Amino acid sequence: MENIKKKFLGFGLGLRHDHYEEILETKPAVDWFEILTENYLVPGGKPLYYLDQIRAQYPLVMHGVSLSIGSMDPLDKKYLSSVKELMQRVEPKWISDHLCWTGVHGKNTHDLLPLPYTEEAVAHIANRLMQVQEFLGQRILIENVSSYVNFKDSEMTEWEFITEIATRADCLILLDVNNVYVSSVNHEFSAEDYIDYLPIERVYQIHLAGHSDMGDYIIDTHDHAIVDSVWKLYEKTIQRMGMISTMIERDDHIPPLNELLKELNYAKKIAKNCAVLA
Amino acid sequence: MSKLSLIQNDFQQCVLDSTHEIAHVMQTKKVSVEARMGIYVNAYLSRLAEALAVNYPVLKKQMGDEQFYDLCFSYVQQFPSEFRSIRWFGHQFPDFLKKEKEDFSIVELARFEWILTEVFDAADADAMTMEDIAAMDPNVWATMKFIPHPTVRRLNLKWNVAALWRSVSEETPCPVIEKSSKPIAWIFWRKDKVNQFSSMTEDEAWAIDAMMHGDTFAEICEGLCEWFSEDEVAMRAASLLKSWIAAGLISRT
Ligand SMILES: [Fe+2]
Repeated sequence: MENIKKKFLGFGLGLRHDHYEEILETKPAVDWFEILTENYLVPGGKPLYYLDQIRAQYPLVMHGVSLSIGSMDPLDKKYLSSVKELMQRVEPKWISDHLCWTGVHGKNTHDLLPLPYTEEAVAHIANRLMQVQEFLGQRILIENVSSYVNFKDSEMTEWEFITEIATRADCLILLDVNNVYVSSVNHEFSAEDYIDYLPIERVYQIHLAGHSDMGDYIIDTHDHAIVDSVWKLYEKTIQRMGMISTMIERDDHIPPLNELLKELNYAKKIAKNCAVLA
Repeated sequence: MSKLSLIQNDFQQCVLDSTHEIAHVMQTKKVSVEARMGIYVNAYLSRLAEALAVNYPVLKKQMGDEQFYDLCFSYVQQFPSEFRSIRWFGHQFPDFLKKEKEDFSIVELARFEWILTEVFDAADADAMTMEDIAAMDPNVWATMKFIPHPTVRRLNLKWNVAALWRSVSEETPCPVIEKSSKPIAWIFWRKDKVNQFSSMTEDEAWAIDAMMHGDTFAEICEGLCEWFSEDEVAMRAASLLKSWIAAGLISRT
């Protein structure tokens, strides 16, 4: 298996089609882009055309939403093959998906559904991750998702759950700082405890994003600017873990590129200040 | 059954049908189980409906949001996605509308829009050029099978949905929706990364379909005799081929 190095890629953005032309024309100072894998699992046309153009100028990482690693359905070999094929085209620095499930019995809800934090789930997922990594020929990153429910059956905390899986499967972690914050409010736990527990050497990438505050709970909509509490948590993360490849993820209400670049610069400023202190 | 299976079955049932009462989720003081599950139910419905809105933007404008989303929600219920990529979720929407709607122009508009999505990201291929034709050995002409560009799609339409589609997307005044006496043949394809569509005469549509079925050029000429006399037919076939090549409808072999 190819050993993916923990490399600081700098500060990146999620690649969105609204920005294709502008990126190619203005060549913004973004260190790398993250692409949504499924957007490019198509036969041809504009998506792949722009992908190749942008790839020629920027390093990329691939981020999937359909692996459904936690599902009790069998792994989808056809999907994995198409991911592998895209990897050969893109040559990404690394690839990631989510620590969740998306459906069972052949159905796909296209949502990142929550898991019970049980030993059974740890064993099931670690085993599948090893199969996926074996098939793809490299380690992958799994991302913590925002969740809105806790299962009665859970036997451990979310941070113990993700750490145990990563250790057993020898996989890597994509830490979504916003998702930690969202879940910490929804489930009334300490976001700091979460960050403090994670195995630093496995955290290869960070997502920053916005959310919708509903009062009693928070919905991770990825459609707003990043809020102060998430910036603070990011600061704490960098203080503890050092510089980690960081990007801003916006899925809806995509603002002009300039606005995202400003947010990204802010992240850069925070990280550099922390790194100096660290 | 394993506990994880039980939980996932229970959870998914609740997401697909919000009336299902979930057993495995913890109640908290601050937020009820119903409110918590409601977030997943809403996210599910709105994400899939939004995928349909992306694939059928003109249909949505034409129907209005309320009617469009009502239909989306019942489509989501009847045809839960079995795709890895949400991009293909809407493929049965036109057939679903056929059962739901009396108005057949709506069904045709949906078919029209779905084909456009197919053309948009169909496989790439180099198109044949006039130079390629000129370089061909004249002896192979009769047995030559031209290969349609992988983006080519065909549709016969009774309603003037192409004009409607154009006016809605260009925000010009809508034409009166009307039905023609006979279905009109349309062809769709992609050229220079841009979707194209055009209506065709009966003989051209027949010839395109014959090419798509793998008929040889000689067979196509023969078939065109239904519309043209023997001395006109070679001319007609040559001019069709020339216009197809100019449009980028034929793949370079
Ligand atoms: Fe994320």
